[in-house]
Amino acid sequence: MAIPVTRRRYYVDYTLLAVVLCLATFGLVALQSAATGAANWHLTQAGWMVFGCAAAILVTIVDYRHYQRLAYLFYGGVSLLLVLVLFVGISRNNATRWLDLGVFEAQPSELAKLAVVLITARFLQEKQWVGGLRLRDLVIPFVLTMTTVILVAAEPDLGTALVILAIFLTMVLFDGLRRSSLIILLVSLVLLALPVWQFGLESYQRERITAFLNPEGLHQESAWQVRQAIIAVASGGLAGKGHGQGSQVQSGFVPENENDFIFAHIGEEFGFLGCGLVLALYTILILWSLRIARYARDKFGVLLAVGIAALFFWHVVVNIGMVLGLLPVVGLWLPFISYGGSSVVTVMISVGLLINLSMRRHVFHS
Amino acid sequence: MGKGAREHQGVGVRLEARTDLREYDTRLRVLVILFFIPLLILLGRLAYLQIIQGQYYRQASIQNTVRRHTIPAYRGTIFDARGRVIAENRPSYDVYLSPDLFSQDPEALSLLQSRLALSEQAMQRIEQATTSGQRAELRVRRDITRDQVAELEADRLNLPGLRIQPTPHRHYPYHDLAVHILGYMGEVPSHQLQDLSRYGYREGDYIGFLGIEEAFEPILRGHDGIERYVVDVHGQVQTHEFAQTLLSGFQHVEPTPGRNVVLTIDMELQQILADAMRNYPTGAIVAVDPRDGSVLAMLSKPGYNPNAWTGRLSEEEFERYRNDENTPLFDRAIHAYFPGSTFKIVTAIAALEEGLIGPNDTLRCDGHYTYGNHRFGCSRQHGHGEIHLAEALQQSCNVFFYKLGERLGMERLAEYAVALGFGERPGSGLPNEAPGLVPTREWLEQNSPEGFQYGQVLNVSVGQGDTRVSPLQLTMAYAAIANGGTLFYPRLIDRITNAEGDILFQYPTRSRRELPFQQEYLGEIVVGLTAAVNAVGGTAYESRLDYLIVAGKTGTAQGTQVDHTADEEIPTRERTSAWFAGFAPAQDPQIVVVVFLEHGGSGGRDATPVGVEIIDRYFREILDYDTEIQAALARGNTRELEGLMRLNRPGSQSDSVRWSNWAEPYVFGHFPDRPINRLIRQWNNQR
Repeated sequence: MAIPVTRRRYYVDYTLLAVVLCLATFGLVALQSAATGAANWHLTQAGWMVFGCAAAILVTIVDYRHYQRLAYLFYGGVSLLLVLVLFVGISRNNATRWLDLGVFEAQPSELAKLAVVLITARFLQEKQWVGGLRLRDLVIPFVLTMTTVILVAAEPDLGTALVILAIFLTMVLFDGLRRSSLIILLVSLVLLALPVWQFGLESYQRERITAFLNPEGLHQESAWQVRQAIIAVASGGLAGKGHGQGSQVQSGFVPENENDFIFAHIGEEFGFLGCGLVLALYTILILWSLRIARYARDKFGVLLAVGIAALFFWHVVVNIGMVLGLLPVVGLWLPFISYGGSSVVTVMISVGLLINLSMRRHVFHS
Repeated sequence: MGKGAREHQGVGVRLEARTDLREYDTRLRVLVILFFIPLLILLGRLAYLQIIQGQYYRQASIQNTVRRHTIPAYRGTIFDARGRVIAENRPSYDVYLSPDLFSQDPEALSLLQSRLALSEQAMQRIEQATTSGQRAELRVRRDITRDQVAELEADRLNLPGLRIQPTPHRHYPYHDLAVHILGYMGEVPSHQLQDLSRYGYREGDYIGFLGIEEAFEPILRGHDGIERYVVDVHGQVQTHEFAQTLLSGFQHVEPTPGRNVVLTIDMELQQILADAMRNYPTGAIVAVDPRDGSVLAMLSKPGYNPNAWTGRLSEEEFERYRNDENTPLFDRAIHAYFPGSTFKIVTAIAALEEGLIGPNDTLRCDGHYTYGNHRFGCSRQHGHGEIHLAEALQQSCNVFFYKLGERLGMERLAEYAVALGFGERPGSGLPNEAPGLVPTREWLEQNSPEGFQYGQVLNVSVGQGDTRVSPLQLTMAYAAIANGGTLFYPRLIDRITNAEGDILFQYPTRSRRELPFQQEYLGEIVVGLTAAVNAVGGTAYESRLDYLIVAGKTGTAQGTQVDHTADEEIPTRERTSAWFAGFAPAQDPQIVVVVFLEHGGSGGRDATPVGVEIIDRYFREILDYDTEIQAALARGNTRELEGLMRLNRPGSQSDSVRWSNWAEPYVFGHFPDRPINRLIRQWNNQR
């Protein structure tokens, strides 16, 4: 490494670090409140964060352009893991998402998000098109992405699969599609939705969506869950009920309140002020990622930053929208706050990549 | 180092490429806006939910976790006059379910069904409630056994939202004895639920039906307590700090037990009544203390078991009771019937008071009386000859009273009947008292098919026609004759006490009216009634007692068939009803007994033995008369014995004998051979 360590530190993006630190701290506080009985989720989560930081530092040290080269290799490795999950994965709640790595269990589908971001960024930066992309230009990345999406959806993990698709589409649209291609894409997505609805979804997944569309209809499990989540958030009021005082979340009325529904937990105990703060931090994080994209020095860097911003964006919007009853329930975590090792490591690596990008945005003449 | 050089070279290459990225700037600006808008929507949604709707949802969250249930209050105990418990609370357990907390897991449902032996219908109700997420508790089962309680406790974790509530259930230790006085407990009928809800009754609450339970519902019923607690989603009670905040100190309100009611009824006497009535399936007996109007016992037959009615009565059983042609729910003691000859005392006192006949005047009976073109018969076919009023009462001569009735006229007779309490509700406080009927000219003109005819007064004067009196009314009227002219309200309740036994209210003796009748005339009637039991030729002579002077009047009210001589061949419903109205001792009445045997035969043959048996056992067993006489005999104290015979008992209110001086020689002159008199003479001779 030719660039002296001192200089590198100089270019570390402290704004990004500060935002991430705030979110992570907030997440730990919320987890401490959500941890009941013998569960010490906040401590485990802190451990994962340390692990994630180490991973992020490693990611930061290597110039991101190496990742451009290694993108397909990484994709291949992750895909292998995804296939492995389907055969030897650990099943929980009718879903096979975890690989037993001895010391801990990992969800390869989290890394798959990064893999898709990397290959899409690489693919798009290699080609120069005049007048925008045509669909046929996208065959290779589309096939690769859909492979991942289908592998993840087969676990089944509809939320992650959809988020991967959403990130891919965000990046493609960002890079620019021809108008005709755009229309074809939209029409085919709508047409695809019907058979997927009919044959591709598990009954509980369908139920979640009907529950969302018709929340007062039946005492369906998921309608009940969303209703309870809304009660939790809204009953927090302006200032919240206080740390550990949320009657909804503490009494078990909001399942998964340490994980996918942790925003309900924050809403009830910290109120509008707490939620507003979290939302503001996410907004800064996402916009800052786009700022990094703007100052990135090459196309790969721009697309990589946009991809990571999209990852954050979709996770935040879908998760909070789901908790607030604006979107159907799909299992997606809230970055930095939801409990879970794989997700924490994934977002930390993402942050590492962003720092890497902002650190190496300047062109040096030695 | 080589790697580093390559890197630097690369950076140099990209310097120009950077200009290509300009086109991304606009796209990035668009992306910023596109990303920003959803985040702003989320913020708006948050503000709407948390700030605008915050209060509403705060309530919703409290409702979710803060549950309340009532702690049923103990209903007041009912005691008899001697302090025996006749209606009490038995501990039992009801099972409640919070449907929204209960698992929809079919295993939990089938576990519940098998543990509680629930019907398919009940299970459907539960399934419906759980799927709709109903918050309000459902009572699943009432009055489960202790074993079932233990089983449910063991399965507590598999049955979330299930609650076992200790609930007092009504229990009547004497079963069907005095059931018509007590009434029974049942669930609030659904059609009354709305009206009663403002008094705090909810679905499934018990409420008193009939008798004291109904009449004293507001007094017997306590105030339910309240228990508030915080549950988690599995229905387990939470003790966290936030639970205390949510309850804000208001957690537990003790139930207030209902007040106790002490009756004037003596269950021992009540049992005697039931024993005496053993051979007759339907009818009523009332026993009253004529000195203050206290009801000592009151029986109606057939009865029913009120214990069976509280909680566990099946539909089938209920229908069986309702459709029973003998109407066991019906209290015959306060329902009105034809009084028959027992009503003659009214004609008698009216005629005496109106000066239409004097004690020493006689009227002639030829065995029949012709009025207009109608021939009225007498009980003795060949007639009673020239008789006094007292003799007419003794032998129940119809013709004598026809003649009196004719002289009185309908209106004057009715006036006296009403004065004696007929035609009005007696006022015992029991629900559904019948007022009976005293026919008047006006009433007959409006209601009788043939309109008013003067001859109808003849029927009324012997207790036929349209006259209807209830056994309780008749008892109070006889008590008024016996006590010298005070018509009392029946006193069924002695006092109301609180749970600690302190007296809250002592029911006073309530005189309805002081009858302005001359004591001499009342005495004349008593003489007639005394003679009916004790003098040869009296209608109740067969049932006389040797140690006690009972006064009484028999009555045989018409059934459909007038002839009651061949009872066995007459279907029950067409038989005559038998009456006996009497009191004892005649000199100093302490108890009035009215026996009414519905379709029970004749007054003298059927009702009188029942009434006299009651009077006999009352004095011998309850007032311990036997022991006292034996003791007096053993001491050889003649004066004491004489005193006993007249019941001038020390401490009793009748130190001065109210028995008129002129009546004594009359009665004793008629019965020189009474065994007790012989006994006294014998003792006197020995001294």
